[in-house]
Amino acid sequence: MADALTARSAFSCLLVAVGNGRGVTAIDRDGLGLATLAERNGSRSALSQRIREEFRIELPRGPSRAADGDVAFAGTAPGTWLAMRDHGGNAFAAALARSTAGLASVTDQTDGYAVLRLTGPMVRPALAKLVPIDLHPREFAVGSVASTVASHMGVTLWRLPDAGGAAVFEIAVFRSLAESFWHALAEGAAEFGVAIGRPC
Amino acid sequence: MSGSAHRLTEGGLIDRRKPLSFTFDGQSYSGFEGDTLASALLGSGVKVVGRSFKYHRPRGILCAGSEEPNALVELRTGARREPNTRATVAELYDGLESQSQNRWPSLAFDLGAVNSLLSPIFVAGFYYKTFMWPAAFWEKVYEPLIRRAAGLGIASHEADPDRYEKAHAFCDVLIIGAGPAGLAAALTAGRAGARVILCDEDFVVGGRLNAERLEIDGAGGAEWARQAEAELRSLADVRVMRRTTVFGAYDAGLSGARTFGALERVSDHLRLPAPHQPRQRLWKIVAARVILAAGAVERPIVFGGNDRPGVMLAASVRTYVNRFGVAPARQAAVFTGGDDGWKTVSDLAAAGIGVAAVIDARAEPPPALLTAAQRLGTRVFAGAHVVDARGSHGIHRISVRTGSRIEHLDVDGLAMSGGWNPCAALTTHVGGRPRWSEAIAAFVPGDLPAGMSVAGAAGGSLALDAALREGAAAGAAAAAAAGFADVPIPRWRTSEDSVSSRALWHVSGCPSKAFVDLQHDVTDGDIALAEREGYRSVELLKRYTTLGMATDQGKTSSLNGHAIMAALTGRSIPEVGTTTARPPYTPVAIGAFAGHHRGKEFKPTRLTAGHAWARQNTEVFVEAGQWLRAQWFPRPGEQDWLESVSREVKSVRSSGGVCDVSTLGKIDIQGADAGAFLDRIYINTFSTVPVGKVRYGLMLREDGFVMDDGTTARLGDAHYVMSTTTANAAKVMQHLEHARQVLWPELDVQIVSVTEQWAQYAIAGPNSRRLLERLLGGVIDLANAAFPYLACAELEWQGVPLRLFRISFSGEMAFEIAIPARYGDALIRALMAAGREFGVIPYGTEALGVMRIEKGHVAGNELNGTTTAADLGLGRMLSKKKDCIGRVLAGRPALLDPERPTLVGVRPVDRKARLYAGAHFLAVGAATTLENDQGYVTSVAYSPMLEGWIGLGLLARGPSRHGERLVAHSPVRGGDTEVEVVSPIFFDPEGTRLHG
Amino acid sequence: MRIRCPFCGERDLSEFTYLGDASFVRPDPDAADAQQRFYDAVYLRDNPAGPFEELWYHGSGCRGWLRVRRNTRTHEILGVEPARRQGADA
Repeated sequence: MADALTARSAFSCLLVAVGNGRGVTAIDRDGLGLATLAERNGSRSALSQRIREEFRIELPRGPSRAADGDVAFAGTAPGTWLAMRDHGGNAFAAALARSTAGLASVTDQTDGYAVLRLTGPMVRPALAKLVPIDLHPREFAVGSVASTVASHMGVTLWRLPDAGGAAVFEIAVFRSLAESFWHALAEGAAEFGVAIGRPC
Repeated sequence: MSGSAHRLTEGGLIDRRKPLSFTFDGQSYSGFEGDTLASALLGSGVKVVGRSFKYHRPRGILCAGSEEPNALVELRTGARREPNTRATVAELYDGLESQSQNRWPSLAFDLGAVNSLLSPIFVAGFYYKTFMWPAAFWEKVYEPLIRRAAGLGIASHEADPDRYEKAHAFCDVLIIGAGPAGLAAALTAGRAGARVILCDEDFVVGGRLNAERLEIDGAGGAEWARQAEAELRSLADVRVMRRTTVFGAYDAGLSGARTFGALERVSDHLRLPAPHQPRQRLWKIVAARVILAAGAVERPIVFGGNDRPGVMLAASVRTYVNRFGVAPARQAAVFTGGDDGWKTVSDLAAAGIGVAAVIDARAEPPPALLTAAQRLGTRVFAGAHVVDARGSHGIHRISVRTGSRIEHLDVDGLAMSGGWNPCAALTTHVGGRPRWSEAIAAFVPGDLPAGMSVAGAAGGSLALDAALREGAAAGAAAAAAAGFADVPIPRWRTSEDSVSSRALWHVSGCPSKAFVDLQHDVTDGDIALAEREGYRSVELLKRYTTLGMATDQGKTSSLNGHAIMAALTGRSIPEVGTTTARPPYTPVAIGAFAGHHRGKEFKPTRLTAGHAWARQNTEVFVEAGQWLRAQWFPRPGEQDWLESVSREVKSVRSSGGVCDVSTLGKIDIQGADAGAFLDRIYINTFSTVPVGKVRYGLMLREDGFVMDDGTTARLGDAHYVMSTTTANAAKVMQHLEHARQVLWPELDVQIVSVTEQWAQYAIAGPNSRRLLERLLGGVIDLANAAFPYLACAELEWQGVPLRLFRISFSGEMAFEIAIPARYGDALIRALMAAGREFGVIPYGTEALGVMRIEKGHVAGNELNGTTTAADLGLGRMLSKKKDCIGRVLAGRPALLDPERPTLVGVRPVDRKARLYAGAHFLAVGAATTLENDQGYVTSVAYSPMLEGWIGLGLLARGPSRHGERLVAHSPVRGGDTEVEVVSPIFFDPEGTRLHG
Repeated sequence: MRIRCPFCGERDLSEFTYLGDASFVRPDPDAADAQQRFYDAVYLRDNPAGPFEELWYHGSGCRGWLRVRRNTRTHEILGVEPARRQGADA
C-alpha cells in the first residue's frame, strides 16, 4: 500500500557550507554499500583466496585498505574488515555473504555508518581537531585505516589517493551521531571554510 | 596622565607608531603595540596594581614573565571578565579593560588593609588555630568572612560567550621554549628534516634575547631571533607556536612517545576573537623526543619591605628597559648577591636612568665592576644588605645595612638579584627528581624522563654561548633519534655574556615584614614559626604556611622558603629537599579543558532514524545515555504529562500504539559455535532455540549478579541477533568480546554491533496485527498459527530487507519491525499512516515504562547490579544442564538466602495515595532504623488501567508475603504510605492478551 | 599514557578500558570446590607495585582485548600482546 520507500541519508539537511573559503570540502557518501566481513575460525587462507577470486583484492592483514574498481576492504581488527562498494546499498552485504558463505560472517553496515569524504587544502588541520591520530602523509599513507575516537565519537577513517593536489579521507561515524559529528567537524573547520561537494 | 616620563624615546620591541589605549580601574592610559599590560602600566607610571591576598598590602609588578606572583588583575568586563590574569603576560590590545583585585572600596584606600594591623594573628596556621570553634560558626560566619577578606579575583557569573577547542599534534621533536637554546635546537633539528614543534608562552620568540643587550653573529639578539623564526617558518615540517604554554608532561608509551598538554592563547591578545576563531585552543601534543629549553627565572631576595611596589627582579628591570622601552624608575638602586645584578646597573645607565647605588652582599665585588660603577657615579655598598624598603604606594626610600651601620637612600626603584632557578617543572611532572647544583646554587634537572633532554638555562647553563651550543646538540641528537642522521651542528658567535647565580636568600633582622611568598603573603616569620612548631619537612612547611600553593605555584618563592628552613634547622638545602611540581605549569582555564563540550554539546547526542518524525510530533524527549528518546506525545488540551501518558497507555491497550525502540542494543552473533557461545553467556539455553524463534535471556556477571537482559532471535543455524538494554549496549559488547577473545578463543563466533544498522519499532495492541497486514500486504502471514508469539522472520519488502519479531514488553499482542536505518524515517511515517484507521497512536518511553510495570517486567531500576536472577523472580531460568558466566558464584549460600529482597508488587492501601521509588519497606509501626529495613521500592507508575499508583519492589521473602501490609517509608519525598504486597503482575496476569 | 595496540598502533589511553589482572583463568566449573575456586579467582587479586600483566580493552579502536605489561609504579608500558592467543589464526 505504501509508496516506494525512500532512503534518508543521516546527513540530510545537515551539510551546509560553513565560513568562507574551501579549506575543506565535505561529500556525503550515502548509499555506499558497507559490510563487516569477519573470518570464521580456521578459514583465513580460504577466505583470502575467495576474495582474490571474486574481487581481485588481497585482503590486507593490518589497518589498511585495498581496493579494486568500486570495491574495497579496510582492515579494522584482526580477521575483520569493513568491506565497501560504491552505490552498493544493502544488496552488497547480501552478495558478499553469499560469496563468502561458510568462510566468513557478513553483517550489513550500509545504514549503520554515515560516511563523509573530506578533502581540501586544510583537511588535515581540520581533522587534527577531531581525531587523536597522526595524519602526516608519512605516517598515514594512502590506504591507511584507523578506528579511533573523534571528539568522543567512535569513527573509522581511511585515506584515499590524493585528488586535485589535496589529501582525501573518508570517515565513517555511527549513523545516530551524524548531527553531533557534523557539528564538531563544522565548528572546528569553520575557520578554513567548509564547502559541500556533490555526492559521488 | 601622560606616560612619557616613564617611556624611553627609543629602543625595544614596541612600535611607537602604534599607540594602544586601555583602561585600568576605569582610568584611561595608553601603551604601544608590543607592550604587555604590565609594561604599559609601568610606562604610564602606574606602580600599584593590586592588593595582596591576606594583608591587603599594595602591590606592584615584580617580574616580566609568567612567574609573576603579584600583578594579578581582572581583564575585560561582563561575560568575558577573566580574574587572576598576570599583567606581565597579558598582551596589550586597543581597548583593553583591566581592573585591580582584592581591594575595597578602592585600590588606593582599602579597608581590608586593617588585616595588616592585625597581622600578628594572621600568621601561618592562622586558619587552623583561629576558626576551630564553635563548629556552627564555620558555614555562617567564618567561611564568608574569610572568603571576602582573603581572596583573588571574582569570576564572571555569566556564560562565557567565546569558543574553546581542542586539537592534536604529533612530532619527532617538541621544543619547549623559544629562547636561544630552543631556537638553536629547532634550527638544527628542523634543517635535518625532523618534524619539529617549537612552543613559547610569549608572543614573540627569542626569550632573553629580547630582554638583554646581546649579539649573535654580529646581529642584535632580537633580530637574530626574528631571522631564526623566519627560517623555521619556511620549513614544511616545523611548526612555531607562539602564545603557547606547554603546561604538562604525561606518561609515555612503549615507543617512548610522550603526551604533553599545551594551551594556545589564540585570541587573548584581541578585543574579540576573529570569526570562527576560538579564544584558546588546548593541544595534546605527542612527541617522540622533547627538549626542554624553558629558561630560568630570577629569585627575589627576602628582606624588609621587599613586597613594596617598585621593588622588582633585576633581570625584569632590564626587560622593561630593553624590550619595552620603559623606565621603571627615575633613580634606582640595585641589590645583588653576585655579578648578575650589575648588568642592570649598566643597562639602566645606558638608558639614561640614574642608578644611585649598588648594594652587593659580597665583601669584595670584582674590581672591574667597581671601576664601572665609579665611572657612572654609582655608590657601591659592598658586604651590605638592604634591610627595608619604604613607601606603600611606591618605594621612596631604602635602608642599607653595612655591618652595624644603617644608611638611608632615596630611590624610587630597587632591582634585586638573588640568583636563578632553572624552569625544570616539566621534568618532574613525570617523576624526574631535581638535583642540587652548588655551581649555580639552584636545583637543576636530575634524572630525566625517558626521551627528554634539557638545554640552556633550564638545565642550569645560564650563559648565551652555552645555551646555543647545548640547544644545537640536543636538536641534533633528537633529530638523529628520529632517523635523521648526520645532522650538521651549527655554530654561532656570541657577544660576551656571563651569567652568575649565587645564593642570597634572606636578610635577617629586618625591621619590617620580609616576604617569601608574595602571592600568599608568607613571611620569613611564618617560616620560622613553622620551624618552631615542628613543620620542618618541605611538604609540611608548604601545607602549614601555604608557601608555594598560590596560583603561581611558588615559582619565585619555594626555594627561598626552603633555604630559610635549611638555615633555621642547620641543614643544607639538598637535605631539606624540594617539593614536586605538578601540571599545569601555569593556570589553564576550565573552559579550555571543556573545549566545545558545553551546553548541548556537553556530550555527543545519538538520534534515531525516526527522530525527525518524532520531532514533528512532540517536543518532549528524555536522555537515555547519549540517546534522545520521545518521552510522550502531548495532545492539545492535555493538562500534564500524566494525562498524556495515561491516554497513550489506554490507547495502546485498547487499539494500538507504535514506539521507537531503535536505541536498544543489537548485536549480530554469527559463527559455527554461536549457539554454544550464547549458552555460556546466558543463564538459559539458546543452542536449542529453533531458527525463526526468539527467546528472552538473562546474563550474569561472573560474580553471580545480573548484568543485562533482552531477547535474542535465531535468524539462521549460525546466526543470532541479541538485544540488550539501551543503557548496557556498550558494556555487553565489551563483555561478549571478552568472552570470545579471552575466555573461549577456541569457539568460532563473530560479533558485530548492529544497533545503528536497524531502525526498530514496537507495534503493540489489539490492532497491531491488522496494522502490519495492511502495511506489508501479503509479504508474510501473521496469523497466530503461522507467526505465533516469539516468532521471528527475515523478509524483503519493497526491495528492502526487514526483520519482524513477535515479542512484547507491554503484555499486549505486539511485534517489533526492523528496517535498515536509512529507511527508518520512511517506515515510521508508513506505520502511522497505515495505523490511522485502527486508531493507532505513537507512544513514548513513559507509557512504555508504565506498561512494563503493569506487567511486572524488570528494567534498569531492578537490574541495578545488586540483584540476582532469583531476586528478580527469574531463578528458574537458570539451566542446570550447562555452565554459564556467573552460574557458580550465583550459587553461593548468601545469594540463595530466602531472606534476600525479592521482586514483589505493591499498591497503596489507600488507592488514591502516591508511591515513591526509593521508599523503604518497614513493618507497620516499626521504628525507622536500619535493622527494621526490609527492602525498597524500585519502580513506580500511575496505572491508568488500575486507576492508581503501583510499584515494583525488592522485599525480604517477598513472594511468600503477598497480601501483607507494610509501610513504604520515603522521608525525603512523600513520608509514609501504607502499602499492600501483591503479585508483580498487575494487569492481565493470565497473559491472554499477549497471544491475541 | 599511550598503549601500543598490536593491530592499531600506539594510541592514547582514552581509547582503552582497564579490566585488571590478566592472570585470571576461569576455573573449572565442574570441580568439586568450584565455588571456592571461582571466589578466589573473582575476588582475590594481587595488586603488585611494579611490573604487572593486565587486561585492557581497545574499545575505541579494534575492540581487541590486550595483555599489557605495565609498571604500576611508573606507568611504563613494558609490552603489549593480543589476549586472543589461539582460535582465529589458521
